[in-house]
Amino acid sequence: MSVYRDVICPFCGCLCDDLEVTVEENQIVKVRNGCAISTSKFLHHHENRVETPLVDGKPVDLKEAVKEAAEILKSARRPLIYGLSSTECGAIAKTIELAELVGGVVDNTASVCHGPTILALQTLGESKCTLGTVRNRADLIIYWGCNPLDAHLRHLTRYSAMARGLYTSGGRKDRYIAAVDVRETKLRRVADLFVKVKPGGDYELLSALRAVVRGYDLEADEVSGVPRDVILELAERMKKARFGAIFFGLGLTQSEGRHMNIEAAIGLVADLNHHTKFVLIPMRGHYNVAGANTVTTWQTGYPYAVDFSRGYPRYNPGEYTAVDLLARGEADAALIIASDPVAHLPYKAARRLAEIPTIVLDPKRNMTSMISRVVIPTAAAGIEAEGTAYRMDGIPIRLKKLIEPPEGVLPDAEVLSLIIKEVEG
Amino acid sequence: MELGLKPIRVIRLDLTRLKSPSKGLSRRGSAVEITVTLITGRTAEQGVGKEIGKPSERYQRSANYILLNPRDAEKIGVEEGSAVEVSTAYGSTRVWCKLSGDVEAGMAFIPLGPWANRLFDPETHGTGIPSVKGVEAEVRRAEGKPPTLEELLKELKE
Repeated sequence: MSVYRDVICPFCGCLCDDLEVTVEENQIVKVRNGCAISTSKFLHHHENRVETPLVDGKPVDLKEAVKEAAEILKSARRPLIYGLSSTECGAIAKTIELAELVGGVVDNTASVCHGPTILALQTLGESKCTLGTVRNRADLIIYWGCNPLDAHLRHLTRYSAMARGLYTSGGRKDRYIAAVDVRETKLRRVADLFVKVKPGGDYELLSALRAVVRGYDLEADEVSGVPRDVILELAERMKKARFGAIFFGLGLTQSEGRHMNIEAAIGLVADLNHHTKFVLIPMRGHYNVAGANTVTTWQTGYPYAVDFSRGYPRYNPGEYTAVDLLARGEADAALIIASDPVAHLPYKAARRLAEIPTIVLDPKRNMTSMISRVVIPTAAAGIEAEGTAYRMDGIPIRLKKLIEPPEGVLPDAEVLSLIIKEVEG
Repeated sequence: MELGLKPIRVIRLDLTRLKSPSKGLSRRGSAVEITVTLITGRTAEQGVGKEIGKPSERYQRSANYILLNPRDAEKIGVEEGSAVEVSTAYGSTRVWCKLSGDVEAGMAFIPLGPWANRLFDPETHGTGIPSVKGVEAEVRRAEGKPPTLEELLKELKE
C-alpha cells in the first residue's frame, strides 16, 4: 500500500494540491481532502474506459488506429483539432505541432466557456493576482455569474470566502461576501448580500456600478431589476474594501453581451483601483483549460481558434472556433482530445461530428467516442501520467502519476507523437 | 451592392414575458404550455456522474431534467418525475421534470449536456460562443418518455 500526499486534483481550475490518495495493487482505494467530484474522479477512473483502440467500432492494435488517424488527417482539407482542456501541457504542445503539420484548425474548449473573457482581456488588459493573494488579503469577495458550490467545490474553503490567510485569520468573519446571479444559487446561504439580476442585464448593472464608483448620481430607481439602494451600497463597499476580488463565471460569458460584459467588469475593476486594490479572476472550469490557452499562445501567438491552413497561424474567434466551423459544415475531419463536444456543443455542431471522420483520444467512453471512426484510449493525466497544468489564476502545477495505466495505453502526448510520425511518413 | 452576407440577427429578450403567460388551456383547466427563460449550467452531481462515465446511469440522471418552479409546473399540470417537452426557436428536447423553489416562476434551469444541447442556436455572432443562457423556451407535458443517451446517439448517427 502506498499513500501519496500533496496530490493535485485534475478536475477543475482550482487544481487543489493537498489530496491524499491511497493506492493498493495499482488501484486507488481511498481519497482524502477531495471534494465529491474529485473523489469520484479518482475512485471511478477505471470505469467506462475505452478498452482497446477502435476503428469503425472494431478493436484494432494501436499501430493500425494511429495509421488510420494519420490517413484521415492527411487527406482532410479542413481538419479541426479540438478539446485539450482536460489533458496536460505536453499533449497540448504536441497537438499544436500536429495542427501545423496537417494545416488544420486548432481550438480548445475555452471557445465555449471563457473565450469572451480572453477577447475582453486582449482589449483592455487585466488586474489579477494569485488565489493565494486572495486568500491572504481579500476582505471583499464578489462572485458574479458563477456557482462555485456546484462547479468549484473547494474554492470557498481553500481560496476565497472561508479561507483563513495571513491578513484574514478570522476566515469568513473577516470578509464581506456578495454574489450576483440571475437565480438564487447555493451561494445565497453563504453571501452577506445576494443580488438577483435580470437575465441579460449584467452589462447594465456593471455600468451602473461603474458610474456610482466614478461619483455620478444614479437617477434610475432600479437597474436590471436591482434596486438603487443595493447598487449604492455595493459600490460603497467596493470602494472601502482593503482588497477586493471579483470571481466571475459563465453567467457573464455565455449570456447576452458576452465579451462586452467582461469589458464592463474589467472597466469597473480599473475604476475601483483608483480607490483601493481590486482584482478580477475568471473561474476556469476544466483543470487545464488555462494551460490550453497558455501553451497555444506560446506556440502560435494566439490562445484558441488558430488556423494553420496557410502554413502560418491566423486567429479569428467566430470563424476558426469549433462551433462555427462545425455548424457551417466546413470541418471535414476532426481530432478530439480529452473532451466530449458531442455532449456539449449545440446539436447542429455536434451532428457534424457524426457526419465526418472523427478521431478521439480519451481515457473514457463518452458520446463523442461512441460516434467516432477512430478511438484511441489514453492514460489519464494526473492519475496514470504526469504533466503540467495551469490553475485558474495562471499558476503552473505539476501533476503526479499515481498508478500505471492499463497495459498498452499511452499518455496523450505519446499517442500524438506517433500520429505525427505517421503523418510525416 | 449585394455582398451575399447574412444579416446579423439580434436576439433580444422580452423581459415582459417572464411572467409565464399561459397559451391556451387543457381539458383539466391548466395551461397547455408556459414560456420560461432558460438558464443552463453545471451541477456538482453532474460532475460526479461525468467522472463515473457518460454512459453511467448517474450521469444520465444528472443531465436529463429541467428544474421548474412548482407554480409553473402546476400551470401545465406536471409534477416531479413527469416527462416534459422543452422547445426553443432552434429545437426541442424531452426531459424529466424536477421541482424547486430555487428557480423563480418564469425561469427554468437545465444542466448543459446532450439533452439540453438540442435547444441552442449554434450562431456565435463572431465570438465562437453560442448563447446558452437566457434563451426563451416553451415547456409542456410530453407524451412519451425522454430519450436515453443511447437513443440520442442513435438519432445523431441517422
